[in-house]
Amino acid sequence: MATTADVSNAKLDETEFEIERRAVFAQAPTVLEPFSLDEAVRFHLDRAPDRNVALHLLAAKRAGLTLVQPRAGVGSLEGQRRLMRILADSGADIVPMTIDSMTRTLKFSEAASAAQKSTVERSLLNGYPIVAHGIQATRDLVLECPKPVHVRANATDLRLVAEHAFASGVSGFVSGPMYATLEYSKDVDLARSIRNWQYIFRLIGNYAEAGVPIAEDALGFTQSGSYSVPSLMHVGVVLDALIMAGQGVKHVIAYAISQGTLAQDIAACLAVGGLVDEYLKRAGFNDVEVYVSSNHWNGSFPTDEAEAYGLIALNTLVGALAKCQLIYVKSIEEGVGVPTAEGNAASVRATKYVVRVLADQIFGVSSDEVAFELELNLIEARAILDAVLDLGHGDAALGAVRAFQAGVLDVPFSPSRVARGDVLVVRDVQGAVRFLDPAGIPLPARALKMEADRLALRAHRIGRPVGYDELVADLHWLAGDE
Amino acid sequence: VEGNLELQGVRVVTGVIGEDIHVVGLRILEHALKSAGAHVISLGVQTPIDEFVEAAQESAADAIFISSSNGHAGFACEGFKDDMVEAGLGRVLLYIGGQLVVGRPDWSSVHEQFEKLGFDRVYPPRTNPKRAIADLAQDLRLRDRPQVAL
Repeated sequence: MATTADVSNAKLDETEFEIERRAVFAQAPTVLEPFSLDEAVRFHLDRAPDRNVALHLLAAKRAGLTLVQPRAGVGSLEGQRRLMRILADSGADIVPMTIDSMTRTLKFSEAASAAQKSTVERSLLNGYPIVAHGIQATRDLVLECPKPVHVRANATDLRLVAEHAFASGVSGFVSGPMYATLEYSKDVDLARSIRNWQYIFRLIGNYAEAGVPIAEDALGFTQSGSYSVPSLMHVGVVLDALIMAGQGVKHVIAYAISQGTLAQDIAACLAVGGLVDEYLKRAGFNDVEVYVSSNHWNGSFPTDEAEAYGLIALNTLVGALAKCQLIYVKSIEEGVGVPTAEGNAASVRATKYVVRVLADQIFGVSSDEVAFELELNLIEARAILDAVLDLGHGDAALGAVRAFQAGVLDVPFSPSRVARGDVLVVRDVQGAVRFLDPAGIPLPARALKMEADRLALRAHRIGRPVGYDELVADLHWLAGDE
Repeated sequence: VEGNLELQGVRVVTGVIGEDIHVVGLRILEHALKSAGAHVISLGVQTPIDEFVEAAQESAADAIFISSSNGHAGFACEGFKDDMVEAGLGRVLLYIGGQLVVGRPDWSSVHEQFEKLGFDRVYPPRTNPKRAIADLAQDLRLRDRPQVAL
């Protein structure tokens, strides 16, 4: 077991990795030998060289384009085939393969049984059970899809899922230890989660060294289901990116999420890419390509379809104006239930439309408000990151573990015991998210004053201090249902 | 968000019961309890009844606050009060709040249902936590009042 004592951002030893690899394959429900990396690399290079996620992102970055990707997955093989065809036809530039939550929690036999009972019409699983369907079937899906395929999952042990994904010709993967632990687990120790993720990042590093670039999403402390202060979310993105780079990941997708206020959302897109670049270079990782993805709102969505289209268009404006390389699309049915293929396809078309119209427009995102948000974002993120790295004597992995123990890192509304949960956030008069109580997070005095001044305007408007009632109402601000 | 420390020295076990994973209400509640000076023993999301009983035992808790949002609290809380009494914890105050049932039935029927399950206080969705804190301070004063000799 990894403990705080031995957590480190050093590259995993190759022998240790090979021993661990056997243990990872022993998790499989049937006897499974570790896949041949050479054979998998040949598959990528010979059969799917034109549909590599990292290379498509790199081309978009160079050409100043914004790509679009939805998130979706279903249980049956035929259902997944149909889903991917519909999404590719709708114009998605990268096609998702979201993994079901049984597979994510290593319940492979249960996932296989639910996959058997799933049909094209009705999926019993909330994603594609990649281990159950295996690499031959998944390779067929990758070859039939004209677009690059990105596997999406969040959990603290996705080692076997990652092995299956990359051996199947998939060249994009999601998340890292900060996001998976703080947003998707309760009892998992951060050091243990970091160690599991380092295995996946080392595997990506091995593919990269063999000539197959694989892109990895860094979500950090991106909120799921609520809202947060961008600088804090970005701190997690940078920490995840540093831990990725430590194992040889060369293509990092930095996340920024849209929360409904144009100035703060655009500033977040501008800040996060720069911060990741800055801290990677500071740590000596000079050959990592960083892409910025702008994400549609991830909290409570309008139930009314017309309003949902409005929100999607508003969020798309952010990523398009900030010239992000990728926009992650939410479905118009998000507020109603589990999205369908058709709903996702309609959302992709709506997003692509806005991106196309804005593609050649030179709007210029500099305004006093964007400058204010950008400055606040950068001074906060740097202060927090520098404190975290100090605690780890420069080591991001050790620093993150110690910072959570010390309360220097904290995340609002986290299900994980790793976070104290003492930090509170709330929206200001414009809707931008501020620290209501930063708890132990080390914010510079100037940032505290900038935050407080903005919150004072809301207090003035409501005639009393901003408190719990506002915080709860803000969760539903964009849903607009109550 | 300032508290007035009306729960100084009070020990409260908090958690989300059953298979429910909704964490936001719980974290707001815990923040308010801490701000009021309470010592919070947080069990987090997806907590079974026996963990609440055990934590209340170990921490000599004054109260248990349960946050729930998936509408299944009625099933998850079946037998909770009996387990508390059996463990000798009948005096520990039980509070629950949130989206306690599926749909939006008349609140008085929900209130009655959870009182029958043994809860001292039952709150609808979006209750300001300060209200529950004021209630707890009052309930503790009543509970700990010296008994009047007959």
